[in-house]
Amino acid sequence: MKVRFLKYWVIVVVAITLAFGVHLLLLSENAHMSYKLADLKLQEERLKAQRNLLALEAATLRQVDRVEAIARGSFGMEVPKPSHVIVMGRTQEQHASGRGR
Amino acid sequence: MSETRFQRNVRIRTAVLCAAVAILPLLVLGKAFDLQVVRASQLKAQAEGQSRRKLALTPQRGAIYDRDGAELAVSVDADTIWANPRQLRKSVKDVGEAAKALATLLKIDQAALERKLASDRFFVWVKRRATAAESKAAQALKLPGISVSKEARRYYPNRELAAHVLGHADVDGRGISGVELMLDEKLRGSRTSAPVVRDGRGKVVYSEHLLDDLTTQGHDVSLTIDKTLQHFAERELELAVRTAEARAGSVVVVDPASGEILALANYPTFNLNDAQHANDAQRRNRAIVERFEPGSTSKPFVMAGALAAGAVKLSDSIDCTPDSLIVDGRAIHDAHRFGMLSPSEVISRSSNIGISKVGGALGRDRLFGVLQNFGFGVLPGSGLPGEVAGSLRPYQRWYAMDAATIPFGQGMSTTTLQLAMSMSAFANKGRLLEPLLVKRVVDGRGQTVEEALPRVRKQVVSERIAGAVTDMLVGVTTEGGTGTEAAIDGYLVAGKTGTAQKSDPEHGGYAKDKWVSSFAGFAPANKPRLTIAVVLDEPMIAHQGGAVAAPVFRRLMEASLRHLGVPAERAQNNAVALVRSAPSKPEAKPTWPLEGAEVPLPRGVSLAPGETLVPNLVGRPARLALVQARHAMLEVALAGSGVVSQQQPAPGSVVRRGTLVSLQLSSPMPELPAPPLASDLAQVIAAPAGADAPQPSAASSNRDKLPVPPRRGQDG
Repeated sequence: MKVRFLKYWVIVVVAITLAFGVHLLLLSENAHMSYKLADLKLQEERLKAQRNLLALEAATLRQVDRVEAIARGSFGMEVPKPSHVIVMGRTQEQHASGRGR
Repeated sequence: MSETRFQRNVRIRTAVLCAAVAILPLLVLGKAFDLQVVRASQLKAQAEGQSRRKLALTPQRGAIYDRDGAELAVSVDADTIWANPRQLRKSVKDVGEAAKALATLLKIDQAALERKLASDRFFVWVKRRATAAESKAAQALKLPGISVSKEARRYYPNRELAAHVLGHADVDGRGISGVELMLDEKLRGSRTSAPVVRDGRGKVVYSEHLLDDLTTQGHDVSLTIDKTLQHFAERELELAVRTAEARAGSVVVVDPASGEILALANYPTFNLNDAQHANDAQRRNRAIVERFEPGSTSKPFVMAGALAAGAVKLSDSIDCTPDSLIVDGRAIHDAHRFGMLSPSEVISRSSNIGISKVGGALGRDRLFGVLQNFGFGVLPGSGLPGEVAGSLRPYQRWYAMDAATIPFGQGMSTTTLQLAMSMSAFANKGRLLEPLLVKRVVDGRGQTVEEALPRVRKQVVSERIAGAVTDMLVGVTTEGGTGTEAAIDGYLVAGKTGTAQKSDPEHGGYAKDKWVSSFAGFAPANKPRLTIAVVLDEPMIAHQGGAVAAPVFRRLMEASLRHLGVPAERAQNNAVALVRSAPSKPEAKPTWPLEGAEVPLPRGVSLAPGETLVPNLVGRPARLALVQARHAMLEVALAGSGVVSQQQPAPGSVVRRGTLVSLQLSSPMPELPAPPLASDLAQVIAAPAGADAPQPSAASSNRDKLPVPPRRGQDG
């Protein structure tokens, strides 16, 4: 009887200890994940700022007058004359409004 | 067998141990129960008080894009240098020296900085939105109490482009003018604070609010503006203002089918990144805030009203013989003596006397009604701050002279935007639309929260009347009209010139040497894609709308139609003709292999009616392949760039005419000769490919016969 009681008691104690251990583990994991999330958030913000800077730089490089100046100056391009235009039948219907893209 | 003493001791000790093992967990459980249940809320509040902080979330101002997603206004983080004067004074003995060093580095006023650093505050700005080099240099000084933090700064990557439409935001990110002001609330986002958990070192550990901060971000706005058309408009306007030595000018480009404003330009203008140094004249959005008398550009509206009311018929003749029309003791003149004119000629030759008579036949009330229906005297409704309606007094308050001059646009006023919208009504089958400037508003999560759709304000006149007036407007840009300078080779252009004397506020009446020259029109007239209104204020070199404003219209319309890919009328019907008409060198020999130009019919194969033979297009540049495919009555789908590397169907296949031939292009091989000249293309297509193929020579001769209107004209 006593041995049986002891056995059950030990099982209960071990179970409680295990549950406590798991609880601590989860707490620690939670804290760890929170730090990781905070770091990722910071990284995301940095990347967003970087992206915005790059978008600004790209937009500056895509200025119409700059592109035109390079096309004319560096590549010797010119505005196409009507004789350079070849009409493709189907494409006309594709852009009823706005440019064909 | 009696128990020994030792055994009894062991049993007692075991029992004690068991009791201890049994009680200790109970104590732990009891304590846990106390902490987690009994005092849970109290302890939680205590813990949160120690670790939780409120973090201010500063939303980033939304970006502004053009209709194709090109950035027009963006916010990026910039370094801002600030100081804690108390801390600085505590740690630095010679504050003046520190201020001098900082002021020199940051190129700011030293005395002002010294005053700031002498204050009793914990926070003062030293320099907001400093450059990266400046902030680095300031940090390198290692002055206690001087810190650098990030702050959003508004940039306009295209500088002057669409300056008056975009407007600008101040240093605190508040909209000051233009769209920045109009949509300030949406662009700005919501400034909130979120509870965050910080650890012992002050580092943010976790906050579910931070993970969802997109909801507070400013909305992104897409405008209807087309960056390229805007550039064309600004370029041409500046050129015109400088050439004509005008005081100022404005241009509005509208899509007549939707009412979308594709470009709105003013000159003089200013750099949005340096807005604080712009003067009032540069900042003025003339296209929407400056009223002018439309002059003859108002004539088509009066004529439309008269035709709709039956006051005038297309077959009528209007007597414009007299030199002048005397009204209330004052004379109304025409530029020339015209004689009897049809309604169409009244518009194309811009007869003041003729349109006055038409207005008289219409009657004051109906004249007022039709002008109002076309939008005169009514706010256009673009939503831009400061927008004004032109003036059109109630007809009950008109003098006799007003009733006679208002039909030719004197005694009333409009704005460039209003004029463009009114003219668009003719291009849009008589429907007057509201101008659209904002195409879409998208929130921080990328979801569309607002999308603008075309809004019809009124069916002003019937489609038939609009068509009739359009025909009259086409007459303006053809031979004998006042706006031949607006004619574009290959397109039908409908438009009207306007020349109006400016009022003289000092002496009353009209100034003799101050004019407003304008042109408003649309093209192609039979399938309008764009409406453009051009207004030049006080041009000095010439003052007629046909001589000053019409060329701006032509250049801008030509470039815009090319950009939009609107083919020339004649090219649309026969592209071959255009290619053939290209200047060619007679003695030039083809430099491109032409063996595939004509595919011989395989033995025993004959073409049935409606069938054609697929030519060999492999190895040819796109242009040449297109011409050959068209010559063989085939449609083409291109993929890639360079020369044709694959084609489907295969060369020599017999297919129905109009069959789609898929061409895969790739970079040309190094040994390939240079692409052919236009003359080579002409030779290729000159080779007969079939009995039913279009005859280039006939097409070419047709083109030669097309009338090219002379570029001379005078406004009435």
